[in-house]
Amino acid sequence: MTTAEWHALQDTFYRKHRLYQMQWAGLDLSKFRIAASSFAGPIALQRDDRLLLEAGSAPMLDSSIHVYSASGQTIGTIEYEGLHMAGFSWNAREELVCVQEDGNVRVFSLSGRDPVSFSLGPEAREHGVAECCFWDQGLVAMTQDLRFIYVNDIGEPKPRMLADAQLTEPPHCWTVVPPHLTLSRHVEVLVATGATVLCVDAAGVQDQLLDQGPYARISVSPNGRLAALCSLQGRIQVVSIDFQRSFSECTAPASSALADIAWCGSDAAVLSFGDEALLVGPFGDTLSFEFDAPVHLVQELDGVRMFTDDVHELLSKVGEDSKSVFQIGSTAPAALLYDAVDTMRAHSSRADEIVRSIRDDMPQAVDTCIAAAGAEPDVGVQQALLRAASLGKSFLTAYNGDKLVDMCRSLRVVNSLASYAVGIPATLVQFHSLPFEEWVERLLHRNLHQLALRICAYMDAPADQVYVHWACAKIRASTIDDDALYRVLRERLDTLPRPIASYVDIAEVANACGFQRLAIRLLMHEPRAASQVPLLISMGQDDAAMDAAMRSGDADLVYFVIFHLFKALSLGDFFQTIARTPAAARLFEKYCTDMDAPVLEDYYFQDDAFAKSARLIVVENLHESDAVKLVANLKVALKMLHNDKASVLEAHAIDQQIKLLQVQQQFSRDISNEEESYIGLTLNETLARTLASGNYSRATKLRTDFKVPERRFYYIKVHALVGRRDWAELARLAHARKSPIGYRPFVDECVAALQYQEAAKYVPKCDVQDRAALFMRIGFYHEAAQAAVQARDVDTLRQVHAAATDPTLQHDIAQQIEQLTSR
Amino acid sequence: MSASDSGTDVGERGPRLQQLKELLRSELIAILDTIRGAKALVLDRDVSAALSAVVDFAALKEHGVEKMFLLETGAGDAPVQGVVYLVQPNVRKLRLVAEQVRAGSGREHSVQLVPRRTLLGERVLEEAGVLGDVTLGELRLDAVPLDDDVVSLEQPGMFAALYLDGDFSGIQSVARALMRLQGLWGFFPRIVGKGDYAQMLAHSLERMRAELGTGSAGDALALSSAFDAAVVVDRAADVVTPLLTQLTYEGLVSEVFGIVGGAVAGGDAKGARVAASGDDAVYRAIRDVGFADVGALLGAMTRQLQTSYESRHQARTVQEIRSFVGRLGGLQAEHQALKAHVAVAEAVLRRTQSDDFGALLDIEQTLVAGADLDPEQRAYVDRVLALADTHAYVPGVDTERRDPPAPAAPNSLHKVLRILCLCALWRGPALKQKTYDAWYDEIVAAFGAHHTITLDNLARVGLLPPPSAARSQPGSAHANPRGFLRKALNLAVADDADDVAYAYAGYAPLSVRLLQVLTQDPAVHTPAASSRYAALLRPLADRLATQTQPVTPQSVGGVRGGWAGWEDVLAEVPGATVDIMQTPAADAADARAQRLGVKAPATLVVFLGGCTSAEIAALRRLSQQHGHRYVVATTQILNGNSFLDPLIQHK
Repeated sequence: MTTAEWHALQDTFYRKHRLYQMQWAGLDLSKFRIAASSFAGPIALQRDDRLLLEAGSAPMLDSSIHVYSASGQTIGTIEYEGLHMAGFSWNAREELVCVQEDGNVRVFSLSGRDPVSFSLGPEAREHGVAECCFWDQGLVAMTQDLRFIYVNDIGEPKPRMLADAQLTEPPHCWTVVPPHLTLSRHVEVLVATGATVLCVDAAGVQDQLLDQGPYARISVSPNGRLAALCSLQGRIQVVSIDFQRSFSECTAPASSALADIAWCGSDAAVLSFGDEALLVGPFGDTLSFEFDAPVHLVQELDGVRMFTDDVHELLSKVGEDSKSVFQIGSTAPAALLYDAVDTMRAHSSRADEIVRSIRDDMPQAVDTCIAAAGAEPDVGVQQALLRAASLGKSFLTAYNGDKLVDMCRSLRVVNSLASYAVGIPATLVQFHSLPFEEWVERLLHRNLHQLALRICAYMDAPADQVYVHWACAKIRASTIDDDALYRVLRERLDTLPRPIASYVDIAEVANACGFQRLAIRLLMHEPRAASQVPLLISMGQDDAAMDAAMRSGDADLVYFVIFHLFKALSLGDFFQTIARTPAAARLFEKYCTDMDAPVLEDYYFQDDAFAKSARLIVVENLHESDAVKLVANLKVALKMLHNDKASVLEAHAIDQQIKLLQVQQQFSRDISNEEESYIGLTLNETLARTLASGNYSRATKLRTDFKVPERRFYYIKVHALVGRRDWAELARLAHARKSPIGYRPFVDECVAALQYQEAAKYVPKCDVQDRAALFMRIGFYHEAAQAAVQARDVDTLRQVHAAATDPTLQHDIAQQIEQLTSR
Repeated sequence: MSASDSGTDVGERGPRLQQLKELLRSELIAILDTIRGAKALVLDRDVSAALSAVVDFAALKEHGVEKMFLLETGAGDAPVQGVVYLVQPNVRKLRLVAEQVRAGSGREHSVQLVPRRTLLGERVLEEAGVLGDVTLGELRLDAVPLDDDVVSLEQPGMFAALYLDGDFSGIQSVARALMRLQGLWGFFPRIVGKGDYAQMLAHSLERMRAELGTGSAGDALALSSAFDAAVVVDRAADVVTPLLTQLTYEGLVSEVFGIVGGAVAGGDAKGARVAASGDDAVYRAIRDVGFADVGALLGAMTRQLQTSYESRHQARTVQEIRSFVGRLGGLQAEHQALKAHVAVAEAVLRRTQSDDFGALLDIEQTLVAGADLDPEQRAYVDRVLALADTHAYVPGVDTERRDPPAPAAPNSLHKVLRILCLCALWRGPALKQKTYDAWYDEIVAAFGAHHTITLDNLARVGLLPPPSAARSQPGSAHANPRGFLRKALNLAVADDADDVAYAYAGYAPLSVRLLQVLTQDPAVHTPAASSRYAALLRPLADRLATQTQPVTPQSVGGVRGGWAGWEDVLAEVPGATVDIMQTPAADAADARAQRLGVKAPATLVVFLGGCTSAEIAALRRLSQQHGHRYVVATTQILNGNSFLDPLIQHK
């Protein structure tokens, strides 16, 4: 009878199902420290080195960690030597995270990779780690001097300190609230000290001001809304996470001390006291379960697993679907349908009656039976329920059978995972809450390649990871030579319909195991050039790595190779190597330029890149304000440029610049301190400033010394003269000889400076066609009219006519227009 | 994607770019939430514009951002616990970050590299000794929709990075951004393009697709039914266009004021923001009109301003008055916006009417027409050089505008170089060594000796090659390739208001013409002549005659024949020619069916190295003419100044 496993607590039921009879014969758990993984994962045992052992009684005297499946089968042994562990736990990827006393953390994977290590930082090293608390992504460690260090992501560890709680004595207990459960989305720690609880996070410490402590145990519910508190006196309270509201209270049996708390769903807590487990429901009622040996709890998504030396059981809440089928006296359609199967088997006509009585509720009845099958741990009952669903479905014309098919498939996988041999007793809820690949990965951790492959095929999922893992395992365990091994691997992998994705993963293992030739051959099959690069480098295949990086089209990978080469080779060798790949050489150049790295000078020097060396000096001296130094440095640059025939123009420019600086130095001596120095001005600016200060002879000398083209000099001079309103000099310039730039610029500059009278002087010197328009612009209508007549420009004449205000002028113009047009 | 899905896509006329915005916003918010409490945001200038296109300050504030700073200033002593940096993984910028992190110890620092986390970036922080003190991550702000037909890939300065520094990191980022587009709308059935880095990009895309295919996700993506192709234009294939003066309204605003982060640089007279993006209704209506119509446009705007004022007098009944008062707030805002736009348009008009602008345009048109500068034009160049202004405000480069724009454009280095580069490019081998030498001297005398480096840079990227180098160019069948292209692609269009040449007053951008080749637009294509060679032999007049035939939407639009038949023309455009078919996976039968059945309503035009507003306007015109959407994905929106600026050695 299914309901025999059910235990009533008010109107809800809890199912206690026997999962396994433990296979680890004769193990005395009390001698071990235990870490059991959620999601039906493995159990790690290490002999508790602080307990005394009777001589000769212990089978395991070493300090290694023994890993068992949930059914008690040995999965493997992790060689662990060294310091005492402050704590260890499984993370979400089934890796064992071990925190040593000295603050070093080692992460062991089950797939045979080398452990990853990191340190919790100087505080941990100095004071030592006392205790640890884990969640699936990270951990919090308490040091001996009672500070808390947290690591948010064990995959990318960045140890940080929480705020100082100013603890003076070790807390009675403490626990962590993982980031995804807190309001702030950052990790918090609840610390029981004195009679109260402190909430500590990175920013500060908040006293919850409780007075019923001290608390021996705190546990936070899986959804982060509730906390279970257990006081030293044995009073158990369930409160809201902000400690404002109390939901239920009860007293624990005084028989033995509280060992552990786990949550069964989000509203009930299970407490273990030695051989007894106590379920505390939402309203303070309790259910007690007795065992023959001390019981250990493992909190799951949808229940609690409890195991002893001998048995392994699952405690979970019975869902509504199961209740409506199996609850005694249930008349729900699903319950009727379930009965109908039995009656039909008995060839009773009542089956038909039952089915008829369900009628319109049939779809719901079928759905419920399917759902109930998913919640049912027993295979026989699952089958019965699915059979009922199948029966009901046959009475429905428009029922989508996918749900039933999916359930059958999923259950088949779940059941095979739960077999003794595999020992992963995951429920369907757990199975669906992790991606399928994770479950395959878990099988691979246990080296169950065949089963993994079958399951992938059964679920229509790609099996790449299985083959990769298989190949890696094969290589690790292999004793034959590279070529033979390569043949073995290719034989298997070539038969696949689609090539597998990541040869690089296999090659990495091959390399790590000393099969370098094999690794290189395998790498050639890797489609992603990007993944080849790091491995090629670690194998010392620098040229091949550079090739692969260039092929990837990703400059970042090329940089990766460059940095490696730079570190690994002598400077000379490095320059030679990088010169072989010009594109890489340019990237290196760019990086050095941006880093202002002195190595660039050497690089250019050995490359005889004179012009580049010279430019480097020019750039370095852009902000040099000391003219003497500047001249000296530019002279060095000039010397380099003289070595390069292609840089004649550049050399000339720098030469002129040096001369200019020398002249500017001279000029700067003559000016008062308030004025800005000449240093740094361009040649044209220097000219303009000299002119603007009225030093015309000096300007003329500058002009000759620097061979300033006449036209440029005129433009600058006209502009400067108009700027300082030196009309006499402007006139002198205009009349000295014919202007090489014409006289239009004279007019334009005067107009721009709003000096129309002056402008008018130069208009007659401009082109005949332009004069009228220019006079117009400065409002000289008489002259404009004359000029237009001269140029026989009727259009402009008309414009003048329209613009002029003088009636006599208008009249004259009208006459002129007439004359011009009549001819 | 099922057939019915693709049907609705066509109904909406292609991809809805706003989808990207939502995606980017959620990614940004997720990053902000990783830092607890109040925080300051420190922005790279090159990131801030993209950020403002994705999210507004109110939303940032909601997620704990108290203040925002530019990277140059840093967060200083702002009273915050956390500082989030959004910077490009550029060595110099990250060194600045490292400096600030060291100075601000005690705070929580998060450095988010935009648009991707690179080893290079990591290395710079490591060298500076701060890698352990910061949380390093990436913000994929790489495909920012600026409008419903423009995506910015946010890689400013790409042309210089690629062709001057040989730093092709940006290609990977662009490829990732395009993969993002393909993730949303399916794989581009075809990738066509021109330019060496266009080819590199195409290969990166192919490789990324192949890598997706071998992953456990399988070949999940089908071919796109939204895009028929991605056309990649490497800026190096057409460097002339950005150097020319843009003559659409938006182009002119960019040339006169500069546009920064979807607003007129420097704002109005009081410094208040004046929108210059498609979100602003007024601006949207006027941005693409041609330069000749700016005057009329200004008149229309002023009249509208008047009417919006007058409408208050028309209210007679109490109800009308009440409704008027109700609208008052919106009306006032609209009124203010319009007033600001009128002021901007006035300044633009003053510029276009100035002698200086006329002279500049005259030079450009002379060169485009294939002629040499006349003495008067030479005199203009001399004058600009002699009266150079080394401290001029450069629109498109500088952002802090102090004075209202003068009627005549200031004689900045950028202005001079644009003219000189255009001369060198169009004259080609006809440019005299003597002229080049004189220019070299003039630039150094006018702007300083360090511009020897600038000139070397320009020579190296091929914008201002010394005549000796221009003559020794191998492989060209023509003495002056650009002259050949002008004829073959009908680049100089004197008077056809319908042609895309309106955006550059008689010059059709080569970039757009290349697209027209692919779309078999009659402006370049003669349907009768199947052989290009035959078409070339016929007199030009003949070809012009065919252009006047009305364009029927059925006959053009979308990428059709590829490059076939245009080999001789493409040989004269620099860089590799790309044409790749992305075939659907073997089992994706429905994708193939789609491809044969439904014509995709849009083409993605990727500008590797940026494009101008005028080019976008030209593509919008094509969209209308073809009845087919051309969606622009550009690494940055350029004008001639911002195009040249990264090549200039600044002091």
